[in-house]
Amino acid sequence: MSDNGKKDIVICDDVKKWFGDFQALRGISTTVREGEVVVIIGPSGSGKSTWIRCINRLEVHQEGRIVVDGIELTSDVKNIEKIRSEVGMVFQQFNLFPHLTVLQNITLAQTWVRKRTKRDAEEKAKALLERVGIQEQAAKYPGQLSGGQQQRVALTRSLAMDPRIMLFDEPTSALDPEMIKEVLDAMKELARSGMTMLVVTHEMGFAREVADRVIFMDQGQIVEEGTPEHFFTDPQHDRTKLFLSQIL
Amino acid sequence: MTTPRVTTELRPPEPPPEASQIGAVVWLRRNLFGSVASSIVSVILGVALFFMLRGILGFLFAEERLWEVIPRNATNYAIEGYPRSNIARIWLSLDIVLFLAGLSMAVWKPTGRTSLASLAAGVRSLGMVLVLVGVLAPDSFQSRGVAAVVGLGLVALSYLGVRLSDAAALTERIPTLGLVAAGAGGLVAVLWLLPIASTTRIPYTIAIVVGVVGHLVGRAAVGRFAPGPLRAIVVAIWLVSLPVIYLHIQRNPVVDWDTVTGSWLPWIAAITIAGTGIIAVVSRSDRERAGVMNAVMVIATIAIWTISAPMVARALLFVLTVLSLATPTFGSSGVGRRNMLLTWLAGAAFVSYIFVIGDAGTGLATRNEYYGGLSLTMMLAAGGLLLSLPMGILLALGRTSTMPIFRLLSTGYIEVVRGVPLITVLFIARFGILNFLPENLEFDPNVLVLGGITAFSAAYLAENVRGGLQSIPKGQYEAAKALGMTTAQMTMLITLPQALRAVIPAIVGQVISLFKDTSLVAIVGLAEFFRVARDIVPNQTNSLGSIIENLLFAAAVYWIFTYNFSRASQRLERRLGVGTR
Repeated sequence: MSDNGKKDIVICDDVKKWFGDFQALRGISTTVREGEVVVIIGPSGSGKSTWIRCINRLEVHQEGRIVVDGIELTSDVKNIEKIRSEVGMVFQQFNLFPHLTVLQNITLAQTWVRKRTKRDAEEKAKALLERVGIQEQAAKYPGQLSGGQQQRVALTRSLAMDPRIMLFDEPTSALDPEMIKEVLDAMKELARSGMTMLVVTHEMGFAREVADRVIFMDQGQIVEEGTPEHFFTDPQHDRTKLFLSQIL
Repeated sequence: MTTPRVTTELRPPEPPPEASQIGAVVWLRRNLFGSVASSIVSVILGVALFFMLRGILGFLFAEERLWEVIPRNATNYAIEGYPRSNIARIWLSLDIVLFLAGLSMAVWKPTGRTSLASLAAGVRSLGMVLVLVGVLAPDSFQSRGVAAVVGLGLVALSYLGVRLSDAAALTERIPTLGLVAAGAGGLVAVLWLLPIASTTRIPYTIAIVVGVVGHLVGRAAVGRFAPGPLRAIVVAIWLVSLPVIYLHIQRNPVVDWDTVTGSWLPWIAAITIAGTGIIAVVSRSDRERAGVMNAVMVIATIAIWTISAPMVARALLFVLTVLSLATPTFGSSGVGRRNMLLTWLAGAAFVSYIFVIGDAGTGLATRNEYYGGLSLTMMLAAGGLLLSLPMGILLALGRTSTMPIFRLLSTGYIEVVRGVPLITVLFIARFGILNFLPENLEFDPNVLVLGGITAFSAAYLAENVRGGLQSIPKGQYEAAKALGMTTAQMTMLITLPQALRAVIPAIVGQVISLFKDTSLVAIVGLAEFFRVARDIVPNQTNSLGSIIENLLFAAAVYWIFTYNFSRASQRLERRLGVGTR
């Protein structure tokens, strides 16, 4: 840990994971400091999603160590729930609760997990909805919203828990081009407010603009890691060069 | 080379084109006589239909049919075996149910879906059926001319009504109050003008008026309270009133107050007070201490069976332990704690009531079964549904649980019960189970059979609910977990509500078969509706030889109920938007 509030909030040490015989993660070692925005890119099947899903234990790593905010992830249920309430996650498919209104989606976990009163939870939800510009949708059901609006509700639902770290698993991949911008804008604002973020995405513009660090993964390992300038102007590894040449 | 094209002004949306009205002749030509082949099929089926209808009507209206036995045995059909001197209790039950039905209609549906246009269509269909009956019925049906003329009149009335009214008035929705008032008025008029139910006109009229009063009370309440709490209160009144009707109003319980105050009351008071304290402490404890306390509660719940405590104490301790197990998850915040304590106090009062009244001797019991007929059928169906639904949900959760012991027990139960015919379950429940219970326990045979039906139906419902749970996308579980919810919270708040919505059609199917399956309890000696139709009425000296009439009547009654269940489920599905998520 160093000073200025720049402590290491996520530590991964030789994290390995298999699905049957297939090794999805072949030893991931890296550290994320508080307030850092890390963008993870790489071809599909490279283990990006698997890795960040290990950080809130939606996937269970089999070897190595993951320490989140000073707590090591083990099979101890109490630790897992504690970490999950500190780590927010936004999914590719939004995963809003279709039987609840937007407001209920955002207040449910606040009242049951954070033990807030209903009034506090609703105030918090309304303030956050206003921040992402959809306060007038609070009484609707998720099915009545556009994809971009749904993803902003999902973001709000996570932020309402006051997480210290936010994970994004391809948050714009299921959206129409016109709606990608509204979600990215909300994420950029969040990054500027000092949130620690790990973002799996294919949006290179986002990476260039707000990332502190870019990680390129292939075949379950980190191939190259560096600042956006390094990445987009002077990539070193042949695999990175090939990947970037295909998507830029 | 194409020149670029720019639309300077975007068009506003236009209304859809009006559906073209087609006449009867065009409709016939299009749908029945479109080609040579379809004309031939239409003619053949038309002729077959004509002879079939003629045959059925000829059978129904033949001179030797003894339809008069059905109104004559109306009381047998309703309550068979119940002491006639206490029949006022049955009427009181009907009054309560109709009051609550009227109240619920006002609370859930203040404006109906019915419009004048659909009423007119209903009148027209009724008229056409009457005309058909009038034309096709055999000569032995003396009123066939009247039926045809009345039918023609109804068709003409609805046709003229639609022609003379303007379109807006026709499609406007009629307030439920209007329908309730008209329906009640119509029923009362029929009661007093036609020679049916001539001895029971007054109590029926009172019951109908009570239903309308319930509706008015509901309308008054809708304006005054928020809809959510109001509906919760009405559901709670329903749930409490059903056992009260069965245990208290329809019987005349003779309570052994010396036993109750001497040996029961200390237990009830001690467990209630201790339970309040335990839940309050558990809700303020951290996980470990709550876990230790709950482990002690589970052991105490098992241990109380080894000492000679009254059954009410065992039941109370069981309820307390279940609530205490749920407290760390649902009762640790301020509101949660208050709700948990209120649930415990209400639950303790309810369980004590059931045991004090239910265990008492009954002054009305002239024989083992103190009533039968449609009342018993309704009791078995409603009770079976209300008890087997929660049991089925628990079994489904057990079978999908990650804990092997719950999975094993639930799977074993479901597979064993589903592999056994209902009749076997009923025999075991009625005669077999008594061998396994402590000797001093006595059970009303109706309650034993209700237990059998519940146990059977729960296994099937469990499989339906499990299907619903499996249809929930993986992302829902992941989102709930990522928010830090515990497994219990995820199940109760996210996955189970969605699963139940998804399986409403399957659950209603199960309810329909449960309702019809109640007819099997005739085999273990209970005089429910079907047995009244098959054995009891045709063996009355004044109704000998009326077996076919009674069976047809029974079939019609079962059909009316099940058809309405299925319509109610369709409405419920539409309202919850199943399939349009």
